[in-house]
Amino acid sequence: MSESRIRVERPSEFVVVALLVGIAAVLVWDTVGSPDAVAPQGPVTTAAVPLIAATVLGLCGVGIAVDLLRGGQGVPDEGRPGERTNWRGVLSVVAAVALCAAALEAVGWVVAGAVLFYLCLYAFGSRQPAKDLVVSVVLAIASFYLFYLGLGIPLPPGVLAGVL
Amino acid sequence: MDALQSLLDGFSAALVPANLLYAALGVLIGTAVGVLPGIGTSLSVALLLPLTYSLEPTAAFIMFTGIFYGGAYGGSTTAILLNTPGESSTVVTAIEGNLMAKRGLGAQALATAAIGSFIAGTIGSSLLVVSAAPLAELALGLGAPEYFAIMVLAFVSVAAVLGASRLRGFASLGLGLTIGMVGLDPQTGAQRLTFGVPQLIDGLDIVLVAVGVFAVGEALWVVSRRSAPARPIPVGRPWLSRDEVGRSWGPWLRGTALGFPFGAIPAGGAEIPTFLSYVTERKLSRRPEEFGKGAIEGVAGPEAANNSSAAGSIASMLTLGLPTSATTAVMLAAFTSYGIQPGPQLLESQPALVWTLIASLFIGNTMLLLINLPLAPMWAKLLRIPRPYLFASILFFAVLGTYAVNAQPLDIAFMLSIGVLGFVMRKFGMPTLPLVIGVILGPRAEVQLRRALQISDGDFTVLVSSPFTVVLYVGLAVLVAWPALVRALRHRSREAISG
Repeated sequence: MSESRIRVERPSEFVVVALLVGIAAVLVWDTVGSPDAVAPQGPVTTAAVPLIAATVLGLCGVGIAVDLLRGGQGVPDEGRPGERTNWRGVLSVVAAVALCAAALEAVGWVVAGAVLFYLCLYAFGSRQPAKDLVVSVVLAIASFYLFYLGLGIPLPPGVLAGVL
Repeated sequence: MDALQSLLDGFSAALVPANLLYAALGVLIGTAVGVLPGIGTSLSVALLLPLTYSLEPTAAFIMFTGIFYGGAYGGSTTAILLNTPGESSTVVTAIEGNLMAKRGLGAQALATAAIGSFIAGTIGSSLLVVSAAPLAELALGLGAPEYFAIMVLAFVSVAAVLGASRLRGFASLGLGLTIGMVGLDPQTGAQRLTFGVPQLIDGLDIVLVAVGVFAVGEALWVVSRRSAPARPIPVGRPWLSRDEVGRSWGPWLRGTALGFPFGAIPAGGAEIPTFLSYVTERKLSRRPEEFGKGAIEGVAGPEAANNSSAAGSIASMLTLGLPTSATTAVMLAAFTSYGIQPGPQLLESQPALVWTLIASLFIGNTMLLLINLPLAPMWAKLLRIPRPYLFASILFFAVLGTYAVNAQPLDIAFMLSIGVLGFVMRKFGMPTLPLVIGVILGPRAEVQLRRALQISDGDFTVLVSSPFTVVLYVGLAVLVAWPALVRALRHRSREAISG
């Protein structure tokens, strides 16, 4: 192994290693910390499968780390591995969905859904505020009635209770 | 003849006006969603799953098969006209199909894909009719050790075969097993990975996981890259000349024959048979020079193989309860949400439902041909939807669908987390299918392992006690060792040549 040079193509990929090892650690912690898990209940205890999964994750994490140190990298199906990431876009979409989840029951689906759609349009680069707003509102109202009348699934009306 | 009689009963249950309407509706919606760029069959099916929730099971599954066939056909339209395969199974179709479209033969490419899919779907469904009962009977003879072996085979083959890196495949599987563990241990009632959150006690709904990985993960992956979208090629009404039919029927039949068996086995899927079909047709073609410029055989064969492998994967999903593709994994989730457990017992406990479902496969397939050949130019227009609207809609319906399952806002947050995970996995080249298979099959494998060891009173040799299990584990070992074996053999032959 003396000839293997250390040359990492994409340091950010160590995120994957951290993720795998981190989840493995959480699994072990959750399993060992649970009092029922250690009590024997036959050959396969509650703890057995989590520990197997933790082992798989841990080994893969270490394996990927070694692979990265040897200059390997995970090649995506599409695009190039080195492509620059549009973090603003990613974060905006995540924030839009998180906001919708947080506000949904308070303001209702029509408002939360319309805001979600509008923010996603913006994140994906649409810059026609008036048109985007109209489409968002129409889609949110239409989906509300589709689920309510068509599928019999009531969505929360929220602030528009009584209007819809 | 029993199967035929049961199938006829299935047809009589499925062929009522209301159900035909659901089939047509499913085909229309499925195609409309499947034709959108970047959306493959499994994503269409996962997104549209909530639509079927309010229906009774029979109608829901009939609509579902329509969505399934529509989604698959829509995917090949996108591959041909836009060169954007939404799923790995249509990658091969895109090669020659898009070249045909560029030569002005888009209509013919769509026609040979549609008719080829129809023929393959019909033959594949017939094979399903013939094989369902024997397969289920075979499966009934299997015990817990055998099932555990089948599931281990499914895990390892999916993790080892898909994607460029086995290490990343197994990592994805491990993540799936972990997600599948969240909730109560069914055997002991102990809580696992619930972190004191009451909403996690019932575990994460598989729809939530599928929508998170496929829809949100894909949307984040697309927004993270600034690549310019491809431009669609306009197309007229699909048709085939006599000469083109003459060139297509051989590939259709050969593709069908390749697809079904690969679809039915865990490691098979649609990628290998579509690729094999492409290579075969290129070898057999009387005009091999056309390959690489848009050869109709290169579309006809792989499309037939794709659809017939779909029928094969439905066969193993119904009779063994084993999803071999992302799409059947989502279908299995749909079954489970109705409290129906696919597997060998299903054919005995709910024969009417199974045969109605199989009959509706034929109906959905025919409906697809009748509706989509004339509508092809309209579907092609859908390809022009601007990308922001497309992905905003995907996210909108992903959130809506997830919320509709349990009316639980926290579910959206869970789905978002899994979506972020799906994005990280895509970005760093980890395949997502092993994760989904891990989530679905993980808990079942645990149950089978426990059952086997309880019967044997803790003796681990029970796992390799029957010839069936030994054969599976040996096959598994060969599968895993295969690349190393090939490398060793090549090395040796090179040495032999040089020495």
